[in-house]
Parts: sequence; structure tokens; C-alpha cells
Amino acid sequence: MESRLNDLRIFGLPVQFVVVVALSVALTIYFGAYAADARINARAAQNATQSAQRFEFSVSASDAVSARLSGGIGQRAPSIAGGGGAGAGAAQPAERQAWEYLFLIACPLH
Amino acid sequence: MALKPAASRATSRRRGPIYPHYAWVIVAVIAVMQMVGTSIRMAFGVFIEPLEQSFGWSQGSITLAYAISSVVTALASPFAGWFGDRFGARIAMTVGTLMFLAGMTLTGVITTIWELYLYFGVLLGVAQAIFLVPLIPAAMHWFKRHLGIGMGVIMASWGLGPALAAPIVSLLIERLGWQDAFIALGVASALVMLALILLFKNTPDDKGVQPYGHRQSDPATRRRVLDPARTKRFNRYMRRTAAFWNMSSIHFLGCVGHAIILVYIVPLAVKEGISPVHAAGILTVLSAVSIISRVVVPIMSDSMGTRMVMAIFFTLQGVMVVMLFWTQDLWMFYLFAVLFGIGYGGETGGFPILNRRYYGHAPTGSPYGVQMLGAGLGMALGGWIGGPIFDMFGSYDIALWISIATSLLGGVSILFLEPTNELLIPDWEADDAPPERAPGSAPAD
Repeated sequence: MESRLNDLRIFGLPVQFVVVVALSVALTIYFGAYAADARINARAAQNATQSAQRFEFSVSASDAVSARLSGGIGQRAPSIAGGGGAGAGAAQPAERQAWEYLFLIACPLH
Repeated sequence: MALKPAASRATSRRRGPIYPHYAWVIVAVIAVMQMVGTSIRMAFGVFIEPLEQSFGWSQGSITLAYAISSVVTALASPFAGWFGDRFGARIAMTVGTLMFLAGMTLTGVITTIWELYLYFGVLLGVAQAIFLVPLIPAAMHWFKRHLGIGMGVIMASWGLGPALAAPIVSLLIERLGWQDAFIALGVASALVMLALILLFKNTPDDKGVQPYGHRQSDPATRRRVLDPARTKRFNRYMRRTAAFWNMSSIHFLGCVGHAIILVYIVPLAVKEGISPVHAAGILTVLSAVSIISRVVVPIMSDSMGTRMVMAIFFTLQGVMVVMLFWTQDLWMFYLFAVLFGIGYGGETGGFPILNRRYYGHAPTGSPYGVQMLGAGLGMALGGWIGGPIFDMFGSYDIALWISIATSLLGGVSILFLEPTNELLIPDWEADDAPPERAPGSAPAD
């Protein structure tokens, strides 16, 4: 039985070796992509929290300025300071690092 | 030690398995070289806090140096094996010592994180590959018989080194500071290594003796160890054997199996309410117990069936992990450490014996280097994979199942290796002509 298994080759390599390599690569890619996905989501959530905080600060600051300018009869002029074009609380696209990008490209399940 | 000439030694056919011989000096030199040269990485954890305090680097950035060092060691292993076959273990040791000295002293004067990665990660990583890989095949040249006893002593040093390194390094950091500790350790270790290199001989021929266990009826060994054409020819045939590839994947599986436990047993125990100090004690017990099987397994593999002994210890390593699914109390963790330590210590010791059984007295630096590549990648994968698994599921259960599965798969794979009762390439050097003059010579496998 040993010799029959050892005679089985894929691309010239023993089938035992190929199976171990294939399983290990699959496992690494799956969990690597999971880790990459989790990191990107965590960064996006953090960005969302920060931009929501900036929005609140910006609204209250602009309220104060409007109130001062209009003598107390302030018109609301909401602005999003430093928030780019994203709406308040919306997750901004989190930047991907090269290794995260590679894992996500390689994994069909993520 | 009184050393007698080879001729008189060869005549004593009825002596026991242990008797005075220069091979034991070689074994001692290799054991100390490997203990000194490879332990600094095991004690790296001690340097994390001082580096964090000095530079304000994150723990993740600092431990990346450890990861780089591990991967570089794994990737450099096949090259280190070839280098030892080509130039001899003595030159390899000298190069390794100089790289070790440079790596340690330069790490002592770093100011940026990239220097840490370059000096500790790359330079010391390559030096470690040189200490780990070519020295084992070099020791094999010295044993005609009873190789298991010699390997047992060397393998024990792999367990003893890490156990001694951490307290010594801690003491040095406390007394000298981390920079001077690196420099002092580098210089002192290099001096010890250079002294040991003076005692080292590549082959019994260099000392004018026969290998350990040589009998009068045995044919005299010829000095052809460092013949590049011979090495090249052997490597060409060896790569066609299934064992060459399978031993590497088996070592990989075994290392994934125990790396998961070695890295995550402490956080697992802490999660169960064990104090960090007691949790660290589990790791100490595990390492200490492993020394016993590191000594015993090569001897058993040499005298009993190599594949069966290895399969038993792989299985033991895997099965014991099942305990962790219901282990909660400290005493149960310590019991686990004892039982798992036996299997873990026995995982690696059979490989040199398998190499001897399959390839005889051929230059086996390259195959051993490829096996160590598999081992290094297994340690890296096993050490990493528990992190994302814990993030995903909030428990280590899946990581433990992977540990069990890889150890058992390794055990089963061993049973499917070729029988060890005959050489795989018995007549690879039957034709003494250089390879270019014998292009049509058929591979033995």
C-alpha cells in the first residue's frame, strides 16, 4: 500500500505532499482573508465613529457661530468639518494594506 | 577522555553501545553550539518590554522581528543544508558564528525598527539556520552505529537551551541594560563558539579515526564527504524519492500541531482563570518534560521501528490535545503539560534516523534542510493561525482541532512512508565516474 501511494504523483510530486501543501495553503488563505476582512471592518467602524464625533462637534460649533452672527436667531448651517463627502456616521472606505488586499483577492469566500 | 587510535578501537566488537570516542566530543560541540546559537530567539520575549520602553514601538512591531527571524530561518534552511554539504560543517559553523556575532552586536546599537528587522530578523535568522541544519548531518557522519544515542543528546539541547536562556538573558538585561546585554551575549557566545569550532572535525577521517560503532568487519569509510560532484549527483537522485518530499510535509504537520499549543496554551489557561504566572509554569513543565522524549525517541527509533516510534509520538502529541476541551483547573493543565510534553518532545527526534535509514551515509544536508524548511513554516503557521481563529469564534476550539488533526495526519503519513529496512537509493554512487562522464546512469529509485 505504501509503495502504491508513493508512486502516485501530481506534477511529479508525491500525492501526500501535494495534499498537505494544498490544505495548508487553503487554510492560510481562508484565515488570512478572515483576518484581513476583520481588520478592514474594524478600521471602517473606527472611521465611522470618528466622523460621527467630528460631525457633532462641527454642528455644535456652526450653531454657535450662526447664533453669534444672527444675534441669537440662528439659522442652522450644518457642515461636516473634515469629513470629506461622506455623510455623518457613514463608514468611510478603509484603506487596505497590501497583504490584506492579496488575501482578499486570493480567497473566494471573502 | 582517553582517545585511542582507530585500529585498536575497531577491534573491540563486543563492547556496549557507549564507549569513549571523539564522536562524543563532536556531539558535545554540536549540542552546545545549537544551545547557544538558537536560544536567543527563544528568549526574545524578555526583550519586548525594554525595546517598547526605549523606543515606544508597539508590541506588534517588535514581535514582527521574531516572525521575520523564524521565516528567514525556515527559508534559509535548504541553503544551509547545501552549504554544509558543499563546504563542510566546520566552515558553516564559522560563517554562522560570524553572522551571529554581527547580528547580536548590531542589534545592540539599533535606533530604528528596520534595523531590528534586518539585524535580528535576517542576520540572526540565517545564523540560526546554519546552527540548526548542517550540524545534524555532520553528527551523522560520526556514527556508523548507535546514531540514536548521539542524536538524543543533541536533541535534548534543543529543549534545555530555551529553558536556560530566558533567566540568563533577564539577569543580563537587569544588570547591563538591553543594549549591552545583546552585545555581551553576542561576544561571549561567539568566543565560546569559536573555541568549540577548534575542537570540531567534519569527519572521523579528519581526526584519523573510524566512525563510532565501526566494526572490524565493516568496509573502511572513504573521505568523499565534501565532494561537490558527489553531493550534486546524490541530490539529483534524492529529489526523485517520495520520502524527500513527504518527510518535509510530515515535519510541517507535526510543527503546526505543537506550535498552536506552545503559543496559545498560556492565553487559553488565563482565559480559564489561571494566573499568568501559573500559566507560564505550564509551558515550563511542558518544555522540561519534552527533554526526556527528545533523548529517548532517537534511541528508540534507532533500535525499534523508526516509523512506528515516530507515528506513536505524533499520535500522542495529537490525542493529548483533546484534554484541553475540558481542562479548567491548574492541576489538569499541569497534567496536560506532562502528557503533551512527551509527544511534543518525540516529534522531531526520529527525522535524523529516518534520513540515515533512507539515504545511508550520503550527504544528507539538503534533505534535512528541506525538512527544517517544512518545520519552520509549520511553526510559523501554527503560531499565527490561533489569532484569527480566536477573533472569529471567540474561542481556541477550532485551533485545537487543527492541532489534533495535523498531528494525527502526520502520524498516519509516517506509516505510508517507504519501509526503512533498505536504502532508497542504494547504488547512487556505484559509478565512480564524474556525472558529466556518465550522463545516462539511471537513478536508483
